[in-house]
Amino acid sequence: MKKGKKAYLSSVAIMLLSMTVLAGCKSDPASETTSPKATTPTTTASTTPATPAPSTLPEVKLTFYYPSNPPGKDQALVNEEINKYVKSKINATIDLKPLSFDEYDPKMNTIMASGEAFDLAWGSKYWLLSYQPNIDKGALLELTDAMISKYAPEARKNIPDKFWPDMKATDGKVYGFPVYQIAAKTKSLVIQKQFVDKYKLDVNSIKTYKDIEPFLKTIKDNEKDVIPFGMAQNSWGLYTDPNLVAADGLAVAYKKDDKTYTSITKIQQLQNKKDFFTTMHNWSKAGYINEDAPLLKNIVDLKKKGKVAVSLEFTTKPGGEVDEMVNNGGNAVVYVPISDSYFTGVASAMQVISKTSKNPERALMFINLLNTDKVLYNLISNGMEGKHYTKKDDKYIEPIKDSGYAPNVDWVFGNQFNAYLKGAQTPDVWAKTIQLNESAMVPVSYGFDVNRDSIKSEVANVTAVDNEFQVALETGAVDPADQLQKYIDKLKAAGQDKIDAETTKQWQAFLKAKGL
Amino acid sequence: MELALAKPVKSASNWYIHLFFTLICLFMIIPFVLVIAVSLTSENSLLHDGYRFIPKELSLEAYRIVLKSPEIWLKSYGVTIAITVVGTATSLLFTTLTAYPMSRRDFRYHRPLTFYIFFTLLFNGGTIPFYILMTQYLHLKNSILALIIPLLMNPFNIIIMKSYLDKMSVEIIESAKIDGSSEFRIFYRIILPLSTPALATLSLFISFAYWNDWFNALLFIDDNKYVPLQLLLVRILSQIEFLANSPLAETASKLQFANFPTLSVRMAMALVAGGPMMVMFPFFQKYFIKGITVGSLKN
Repeated sequence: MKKGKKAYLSSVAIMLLSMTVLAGCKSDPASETTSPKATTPTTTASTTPATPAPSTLPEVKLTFYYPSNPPGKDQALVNEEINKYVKSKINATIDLKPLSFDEYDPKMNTIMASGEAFDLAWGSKYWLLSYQPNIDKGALLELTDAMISKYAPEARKNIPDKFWPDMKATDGKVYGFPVYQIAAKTKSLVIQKQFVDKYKLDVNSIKTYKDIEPFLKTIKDNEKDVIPFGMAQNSWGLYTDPNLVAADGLAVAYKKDDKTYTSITKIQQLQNKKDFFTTMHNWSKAGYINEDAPLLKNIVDLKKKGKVAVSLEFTTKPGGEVDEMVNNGGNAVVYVPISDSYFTGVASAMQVISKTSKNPERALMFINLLNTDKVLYNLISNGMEGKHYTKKDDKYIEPIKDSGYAPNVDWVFGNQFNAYLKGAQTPDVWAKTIQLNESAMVPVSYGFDVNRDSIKSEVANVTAVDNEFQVALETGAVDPADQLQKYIDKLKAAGQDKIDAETTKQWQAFLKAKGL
Repeated sequence: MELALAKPVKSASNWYIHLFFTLICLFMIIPFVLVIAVSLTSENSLLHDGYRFIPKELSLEAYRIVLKSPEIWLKSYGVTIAITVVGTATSLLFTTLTAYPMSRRDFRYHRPLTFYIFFTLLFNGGTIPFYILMTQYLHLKNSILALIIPLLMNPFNIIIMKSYLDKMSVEIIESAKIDGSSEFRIFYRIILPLSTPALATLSLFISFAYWNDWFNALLFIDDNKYVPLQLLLVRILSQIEFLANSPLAETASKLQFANFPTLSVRMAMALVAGGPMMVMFPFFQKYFIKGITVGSLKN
C-alpha cells in the first residue's frame, strides 16, 4: 500500500516538475519598463506639425492589434520597413498584430479582460471590438481634446467638425480616433448597363422605385432567363418616401417638413406602405421578381450568374459600380439613386488606445501618422514598392499577384484618402466620397437610440412577428390585401403599441434635450 | 467453435444484411465523393450547373489557391503533427498515471482524488483566468507548449481510464507483488499491457482533440511560426467570407478576387485539412480492433 502511494506521488512529482520546467522557459516580460510621462514632449499645439524632433523622445515599442486578412509571408519584412520609417518620425517601433476577422473579437476580449498591456487596436461602433461596451468595461483610454490637439492635430483637421459628435460615447467623452471614409448612405437601383443601352432607358427619369416598372416589363418580355428584379433576404427594402426622414437604422421616422419632428409609428408606416406592398405583389405575380426571393439567403449568389437586370444597393459609395461589376458576373452596371443621402457616422471604423498602454501619447502620435502620412499609410496597406506593388504613375499602383503582402484592409489602417488608387478606381473617387460625405443630410434623429430596457420582451415578440411577415411582404410573395392587416394585428398583440409609446416618449425627451 | 462461425447464414437474411451495410457505406461515401468532385470543379460551372458528381469543367484552381504558399502549409502541418504526436503520447501517459492510483482501492486517498478530478469536470475557471494563468504566470505565450499543455489532462478521459482500470482484478496485482514486483513494474508490465483497448480509445480521442484544436492557438499564438493547420483554415475561411460578403471589402481587393472560387476552395480545404486523418485512421484502426480483441479475452 505504501508503495502504491509512492508511485502515485512520484508521478505527480514528475508532472509538477515538468510544468515548472516548462514555465521557466520564458523570460519575464515585466522587466522591460519605460517611463513615458517623464519625458513627454513640451511642444505646444500649433498648426505646424506638432510632432517633435524624434531625438528628444525616448524610444518606445508600441503594439497594434487589428483585424485583417492573412497578410502573407512578408508581414515581418513590411513591419521592419515600417519601423525604420516610424522611428525616424516619432522614435517608436510598432509591433503589428494582424488577426483574422473571426479571431479578432474573442482574442481582444480575452486580452482586455486579462489586463494584458497593449497600445493600439482597431475598433468600431457596432462591429468588432464594439465601442460602447468596451468603454463601459473601462478598457479604452479617453482621448481628451487637449491630447488630440497636442498629438494628433493634423489628423483631427481631416475630419469635419459636424461629424465629430459621432465619436462621443454615452458619457459625452471621446475614446477613439475615427478612420475617415465613406460616411453616407444612399439607396440606389443597380441596373445592368447592357440593358440600359439596349432598351435606351433614360436613367434620369427614375426618381422612385415605381419608375422602373416599365423597364422591368421590357426585360421580362424580351430577355429570356434574365430576372428583371433580383431580391433575397438580405436585399429587400426597395421602398423609399422622399417626404420622410427614415433612413435604415434610424430609430424614428418623421416628416421632412415637420418642424415638430413628430415620430411616425411603425404601424402608421406600414399602412402608408400598402401601395408599395401591392406593387411588389403585382411585380411578383408578373414574374419580375425571382420566385425564391423570400427564401434566398444572399443576393450575391444570384447576381454572380450575371442574370439579374435590376437590384438594390443600400450604400452607393462612389466607385462602387466597379465592385458591383464583380458581383454581377462581370457585367457593367449603373447606379440610379432613389433616395436622399444620409449621414451614417464616422465611428464605424476607428483606432482606440488601451487603458493598459504604457505610452498613450506616442500611440496617439502614431494614429496621427497613420491618418496623415501618405508614405506610412501606403506602406502598411500595400507593402513595399517594387516588391509588393508596382507604380503605374503618381496616383495608380498595380499589386503584384501572390507577392507575400496583401492585407486588403485599407480602411483599417487610416484615412483612406491618402491611398494610391488601384484597378478601375476613378481618379476622383476620393474627392467624390468626401463631397458625398459633406453633402449628406444629417437627420435630427442621428445619434438617438431607444433604451430598450423596459420593453425588452415586446421587442423580442415583435421581432418574431417581423420575421414571419416582413420578407414575404417586401418581396411581394404574399398578397397585402389580407396579409398586411394580419401583420398589423399580430404586431399589436405582440406589444408594438407599447414600444411606440416608449419610443415617442424617449424621442421627445431627446428633442427637448437638444432644444428642438 | 470454428464450425459454428463458418456455418453460412440463411441466404435471404444474408442478402438483407449485405444490402443494409452497403447502403450505410454509400450514405457515408457519397457525400465525400461529392466533396472531392466539387473541389475539382471550376467555380463558373458550379454557379451555373450546381453541384455534380462528374465535374463539367475540371479545374485545379481551388487547390492552387489553397496550396498557394506551400511553406505556410508545411509549417502548419508540421505544427499540427508535432502537437498531435507529442501531445497524444504525453497525455496518454499522464492520464494513465493519474487514473491508476484513483482506481486502486488500497490507495487511501483514491476517493478524494477522484472527487478532485471530477470537480474540475463540472466547474472550471473560465477563459480569462485560464488566459491569465497561461500568459502571466506560466509565460507560455507564443510557445508551442501552449498548444500541448492545456489538453494534456482531460478529466473526462481520466475518468474513462479510471473506470476501465477499476475492473482490473486485485489478485493480479497481489500475485505480482508476492513475486516481488515493484509498483512501477506492475504498472508498466501488467496494467498498461492489459489496458490496450482503453489506451487505444483514449489515444483516438486525444489525437482528435489535438488535431482539431484551434482555440488555444487563437489565444496564445501570435507568431506565424506556430500556427496550426486548423487556425490557418479558420483564417483563410474568414478571408473568403469577408471578401465574398462584406460591403467593407475594398473594391480593388474584391477585383483581385473577382474569380475567386469560394465554393470549391472550401471543399478543397476540407480535404487538405481532414485528409491525413482519414488516411491515417485505417492504419490506426488495425490496432484499435486488436486492442478490443485483447481486452475481450482478458477474463
